[in-house]
Amino acid sequence: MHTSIKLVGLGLFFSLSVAFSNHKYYMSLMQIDYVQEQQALQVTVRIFVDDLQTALNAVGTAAVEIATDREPLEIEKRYRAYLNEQLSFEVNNRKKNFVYLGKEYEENQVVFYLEIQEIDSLQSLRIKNTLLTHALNEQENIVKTKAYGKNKSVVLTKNKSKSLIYF
Amino acid sequence: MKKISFAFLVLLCTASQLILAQTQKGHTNTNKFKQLKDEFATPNSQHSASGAPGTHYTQQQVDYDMDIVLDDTRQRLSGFEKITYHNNSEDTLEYLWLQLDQNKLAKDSKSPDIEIDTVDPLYTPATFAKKFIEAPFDGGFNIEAVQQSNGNELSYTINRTMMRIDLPKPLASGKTFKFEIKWWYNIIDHTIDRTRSGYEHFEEDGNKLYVIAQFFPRLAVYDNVEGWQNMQFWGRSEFALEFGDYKVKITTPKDHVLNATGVLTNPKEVLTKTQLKRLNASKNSFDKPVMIVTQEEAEVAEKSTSKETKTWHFNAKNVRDYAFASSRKFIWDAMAVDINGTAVMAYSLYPKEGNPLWEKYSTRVVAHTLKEYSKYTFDYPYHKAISVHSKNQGMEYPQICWNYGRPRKDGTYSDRTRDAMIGVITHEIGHNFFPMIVNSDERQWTWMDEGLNSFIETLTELAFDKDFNTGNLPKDIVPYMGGDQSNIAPIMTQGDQVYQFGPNAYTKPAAGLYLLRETILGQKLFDYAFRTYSRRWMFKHPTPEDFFRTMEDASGADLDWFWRGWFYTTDVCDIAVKEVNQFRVTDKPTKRILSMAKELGVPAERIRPGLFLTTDEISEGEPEKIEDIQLLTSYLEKKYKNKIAPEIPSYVYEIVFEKPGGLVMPIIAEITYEDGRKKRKTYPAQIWQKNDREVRKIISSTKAIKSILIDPDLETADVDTTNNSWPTLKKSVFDLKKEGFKTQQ
Ligand SMILES: [Zn+2]
Repeated sequence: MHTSIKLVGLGLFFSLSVAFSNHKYYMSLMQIDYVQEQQALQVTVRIFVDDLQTALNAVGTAAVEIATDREPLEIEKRYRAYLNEQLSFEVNNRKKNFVYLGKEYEENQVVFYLEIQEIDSLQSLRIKNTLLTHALNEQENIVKTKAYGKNKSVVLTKNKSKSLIYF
Repeated sequence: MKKISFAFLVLLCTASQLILAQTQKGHTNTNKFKQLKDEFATPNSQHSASGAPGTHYTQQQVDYDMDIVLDDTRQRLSGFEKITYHNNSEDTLEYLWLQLDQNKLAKDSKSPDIEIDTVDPLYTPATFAKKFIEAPFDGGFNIEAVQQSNGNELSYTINRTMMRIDLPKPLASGKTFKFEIKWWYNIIDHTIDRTRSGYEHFEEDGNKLYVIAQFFPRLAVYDNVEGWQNMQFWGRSEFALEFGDYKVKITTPKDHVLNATGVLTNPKEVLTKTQLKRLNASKNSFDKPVMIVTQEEAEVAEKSTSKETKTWHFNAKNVRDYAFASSRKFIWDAMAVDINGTAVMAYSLYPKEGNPLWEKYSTRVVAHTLKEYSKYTFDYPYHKAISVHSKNQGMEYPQICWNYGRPRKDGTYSDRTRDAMIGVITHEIGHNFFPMIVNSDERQWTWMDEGLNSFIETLTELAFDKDFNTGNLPKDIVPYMGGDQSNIAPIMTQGDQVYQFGPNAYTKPAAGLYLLRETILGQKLFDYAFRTYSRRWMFKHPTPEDFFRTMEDASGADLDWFWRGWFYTTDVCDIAVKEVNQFRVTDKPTKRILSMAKELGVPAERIRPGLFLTTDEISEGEPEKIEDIQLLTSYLEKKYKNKIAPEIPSYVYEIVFEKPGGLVMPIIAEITYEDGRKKRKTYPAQIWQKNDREVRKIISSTKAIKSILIDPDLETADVDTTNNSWPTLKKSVFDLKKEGFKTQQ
């Protein structure tokens, strides 16, 4: 995804009315792979650190800095809560919770690893993803799925935060 | 007789209809390597087939003589400009078009009207009031006079951000036309409305920091590609401007520190003796910046407000635009940069709010950038480059640019803030080369300056710190390129129509050129060609074709396939190892050859002795190893008598590469042998010329192959790397991470 923290300039990033950010575009990437042998949906979510920080601070009362030496110790708890608020999944028409496995910082992105377990087959997947869109008008959340050897992808935005995918 | 011929005709007709029904439909050449004759403009005497300016290449020149007043109490800018327009084209002009960029901020601007609204979940009182209660900002040019130097009024028409001046009589080729414009406008707070030019207000001390650009009516470009480039300025696609000489006088409050495009011609009138002395010292300081105005001095200045004014005089030769920055809050430091024996000055202007970050990095990054860019293009031809601190934007003008990067209130800063600042300064200073000197049409093609600039910026950042996260490498563009196609435009799309501006016009072209340099052409060929393009089009107006053609002309490589795929389509790179088949070598006719012989009626014993590759079961009496095959060993013994014979391979493999992606790309295969050794083989992209879906390679080795990995260093922006391995990886990255998280707990 990305580009560094750089923003490049307005020359660059000039969109008439958005909040400032440190990189050239507002984008998150969610990769969902159905692994039949493990009966699981493996979910990887990549978000720019700056954007996530903006979003967390837009909903929370206490401002935080993340991925710096000022990151609060209980950040993991806050991430879990945020992801649970902004993401939901229905597999084969049934609501399914996800397990938060962990996160990693990779350059200026944070990568979350989530898993939806006990999926013995996959016919449909309804995704709701409102990550960052509540704080950043231009946010685009790209969702890519891979199941039974086929790739499908959708882009979710502030105006369209849900999608139903059939496999 | 008649009857017969009729019947015969019917017969003929039926026959021909039958033939028609059986005939396959034809098609035109859709090969990915087809030349770009249909896409490229036809070369002519202005833009030649080699990509160089042609023998009849012309370019207009526009000189400006301006008197500008910055009114700090009312935040108003006024100016009187005398313009000399040189018609160097072969055409006669009936009118001139000027750009009125400030009108984008006029009350009746249509820019807000084309923005698509969304309901925000939460409004601050300020954002709510601005959107739903308050009147729009009273911006835009107030044109007070448009006249000839004798005072005669000129007829003009304003079409939003463009103004047409009707010439009293047609302006013939080679002639000049002089006229004058008097104007003023209200300056906006750029930190709220996110404009490139404006001021920032500092609540604590009540002062303002002005970054002023696009502030005067400027001539549009007239050339033989667009005629007049008078597409409206909506706010995103930037500028097309003519080169010319500027004489500018700027009046500011007396306690302001100002810098601008051009050479300051009255330093003694506007600088103190101490400042002058320090400035002279900085001209010999090549290793570290010298403070011209210190933080202590700036802090004293910001405590009062002078009612007096002073006027700064500048001369700028051969620049395409003009900009300046002014504030009583400015700290100023300077150092000299050696550009192949010529000293160029690197300056930074910043308020105390930028420190300690700015004093540490800004000017040094400017110096580094000028040196690195000069290596890849041409020696920086201007006498200075200035980095000005601006709260939240990066924006470029000739010799001067605005950059963000502000520490926390307590003066500390994260690595992210520091790297963002280094990145943006590199980028904006780099714009001095593209488009300030290699002056492409930004209104039409954002990628020509942003993409080329982001590419050299990437090399410059990596030279500054080899681990710098540039965000412009091929791997970085994968999420964009692999994303939803309905939201992606080809790079060759006019800027206002692009869906995802940053990845489309910055990252993708930059990553593509990086790929072209590192993986396809090699650094030497690429750098020569890129430098050729930069030099050919210095102080001129290149088109995309001029770039594409020059890169081929100077490197000797046919790159049409690369431009076509990467710049003209939204195709993705996805190359896979489909299968790997191991062969046995035998001298016994295989099932395949036996059945061929049978078909041809050749008895088995008449098959010519030979070597056969097969996957058939080994049968009795067959040689187990290749070196047991007498037919081969005796041939080699004879041929290499008294010489060292090459080693006989023990293994032969057929590798099947598949290409689910639409892009053609070299296949980079890393082969790992049983003993752990690795070998890399790159097959040029042209391997896909005859078959765009699947290709086979047969390779031999003395050791067994353990695994094959395509694109091990993520050079090609392959959007799906899960099919890049043979054998297929048992554990995915996800599985490995999951195990890692478990052990951590
Ligand atoms: Zn730029």
